[in-house]
Amino acid sequence: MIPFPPFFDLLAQTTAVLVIVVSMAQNLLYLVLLLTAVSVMLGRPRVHQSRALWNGLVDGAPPVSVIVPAYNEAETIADSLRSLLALEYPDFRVVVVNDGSTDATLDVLMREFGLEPAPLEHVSTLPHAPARGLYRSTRHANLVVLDKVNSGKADALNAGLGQVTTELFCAVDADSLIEADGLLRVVQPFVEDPERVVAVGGTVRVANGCGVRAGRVRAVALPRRMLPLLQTVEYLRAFMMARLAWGRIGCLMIVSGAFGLFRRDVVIELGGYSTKTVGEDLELVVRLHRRMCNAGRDYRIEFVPEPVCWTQVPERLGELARQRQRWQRGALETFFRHKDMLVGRKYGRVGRLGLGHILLLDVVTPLVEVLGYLLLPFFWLAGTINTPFFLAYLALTFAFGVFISVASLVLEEFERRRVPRARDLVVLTAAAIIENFGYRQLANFWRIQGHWQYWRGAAHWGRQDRRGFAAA
Amino acid sequence: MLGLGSLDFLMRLIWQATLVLVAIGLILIASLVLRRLLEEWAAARHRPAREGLRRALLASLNRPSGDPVAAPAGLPVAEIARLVDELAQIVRGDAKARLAAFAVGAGIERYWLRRLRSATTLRRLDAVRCLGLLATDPARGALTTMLAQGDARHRLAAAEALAQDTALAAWLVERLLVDPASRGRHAARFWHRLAANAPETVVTCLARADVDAALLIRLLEALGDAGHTAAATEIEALLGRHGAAVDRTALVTLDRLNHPAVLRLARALGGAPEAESRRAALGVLERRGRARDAELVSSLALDPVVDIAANAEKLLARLRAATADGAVPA
Repeated sequence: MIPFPPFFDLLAQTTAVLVIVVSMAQNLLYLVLLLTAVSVMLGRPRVHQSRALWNGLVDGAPPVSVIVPAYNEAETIADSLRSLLALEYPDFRVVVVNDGSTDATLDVLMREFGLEPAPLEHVSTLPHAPARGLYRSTRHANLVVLDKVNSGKADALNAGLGQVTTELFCAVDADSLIEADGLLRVVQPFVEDPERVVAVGGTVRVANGCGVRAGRVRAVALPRRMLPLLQTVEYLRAFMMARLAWGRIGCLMIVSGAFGLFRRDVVIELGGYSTKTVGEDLELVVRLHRRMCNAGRDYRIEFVPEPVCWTQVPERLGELARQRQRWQRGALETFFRHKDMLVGRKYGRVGRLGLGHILLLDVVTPLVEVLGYLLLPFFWLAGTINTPFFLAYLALTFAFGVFISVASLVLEEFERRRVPRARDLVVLTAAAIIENFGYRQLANFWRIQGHWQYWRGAAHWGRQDRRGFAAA
Repeated sequence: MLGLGSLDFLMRLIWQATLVLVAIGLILIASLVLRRLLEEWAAARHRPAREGLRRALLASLNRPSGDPVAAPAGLPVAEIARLVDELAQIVRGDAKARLAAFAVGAGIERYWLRRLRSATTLRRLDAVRCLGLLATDPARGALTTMLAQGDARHRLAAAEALAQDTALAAWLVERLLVDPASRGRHAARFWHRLAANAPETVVTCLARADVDAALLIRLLEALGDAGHTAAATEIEALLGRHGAAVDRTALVTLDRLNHPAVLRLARALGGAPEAESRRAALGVLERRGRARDAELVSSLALDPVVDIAANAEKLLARLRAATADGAVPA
């Protein structure tokens, strides 16, 4: 054993206990979420087939506006829009907001959808960067394109809201593909409980590797590259376990920016999307909770576990790093903006659990976990912590992660069975194990970079690379 | 060295328990992979027979008096049941009745009745829904028994399945009115189904003294969904008698039903003390308002509730602009 000064032992003990306590809290939370998700899944009635859903909702489905903010999306916008225009929904309108793209996004829209200028008018008063023009499609009566000066996604969504006249609107990422019955599925909670439901999120799945034709995912398949494959496991865990469970607990704090349905009046009442954060989707939902709790209103923010939306995930490390740093900054911005909800009595479990889990998982855990990676192996080698302690650390940091990922796969396989073949299930299981050894540590490193950027006051989105969808 | 004495036991417990959990997870996923492999093998084996049956059934159901189809020998009853369930979603009327007759003949009724006793809630609920496709006495008897279940989901699923039979509508309503679950959001589908199949039965409930506000809201929503315009008089009669939530839903329903008096009623509710009523009234005025509503809308633009005031202001601007153009009748 190497002789170290006494303060070193104290430092090692304090660090080790901190790491173990935070890891235990994190893993206990995951375990509770997993059990909650299992109970939700076991208690859910059978998922309706698209046809039955259509028959049940065709008369009662309220009209919906779909807002698609687009910035430099020339590669994917045509496919995405075709999938939107082919949605199985009785009454909907698509509002594309070209947020000052510097590529050929507007040209692609003009060419593919036969746009022609229309008089510019706004129906809501949310402030946003100046609009340059409004276009209507000569081929699709329910498609309009608003061209505006670039000012970010949140501002584009606010501008899009200015064109919305329906009670409900759906915010969709331009690089996402929506399932044909996706809108019907997310509208269902509004139809069943119109008084209380204010927002609904759906499951987002990874489109990389899937065959796409005419804006639809025709052949579900796993990504061929390792990085998107690992993200597939992450998405499954996030949606099948975490969001499902938080939805049941009543503390769903995020409705994915890729696909979320909201009540227009409520969002306008809130002042629309915040332009002062890069995590506008998370921030909006937290602000929604805040407003509803302040007003003492009985409300629900629901989550639909059926896959409703497919998205392209980054395939390159640099691109993924920028995305994760941005997500981390968004989480920190939202947390610190609304931190008073943690203790405010009127926020109840939304504050304690909802904000509390953001504090634990997004603020504290990345720092402590990276601290653990750097110091605990060294302390163990130096003999300042014993083997049971080190094994417990390894179990909590690596093995428990394997368990949670595999359990999410089990949940998915029991309930949704969207993994096409047995072979794919084996591949995903392998990915669920592998991601804990290297990828997870890398993701935590990016989150620390996100922390650093947040504390330095960075406000940029970072460069985003776009790829077209693979043909079926 | 950090032994922390008593903590060592906890540490051992942590890593040993975690490894057990990982082992359980891996065993579970391995068994699911195995199940998938077996299913893929069975599906490949039964695919020709299943596809043949599907083609024969579709051909038969597509003709007004198609030849009866016999289930192929060797095809498991679970496969046939899945196929029937799938086809039941796309056929209507007489074809549906013939599909049900085929299902009974193929022994699927017995299969679904057996699944009613499954240990899994999802399977039981699924069986309840599927039995609703068959108008046979055993199916009806089993569903009626399910109406007495302790679990509200089973009761509501059974009620929804039985609601397809219009002859049972009045009897079902009597059963459901005394069931607290009938007020909840999960009951919406039952009332929707009932309003689509037997709207008059739902309309008669509106005037009953034993129907509370929560249930009235469900009934109104269901009638709105069904587009039952004949209910307008009864719905109008509810206004002002059961509180703001009912008023709001009634007004929205009348609006959906295109009732001629909805604008007059919205004008009356525009001055209501409850924000919910004023919001609903403004919603109607937004769609149907005329120039003469400008005064009421002006007062709503000063509303203390921010979204009402904001929307009223926009509407006011629109009404004024349209009046200037002569587009909105006074």
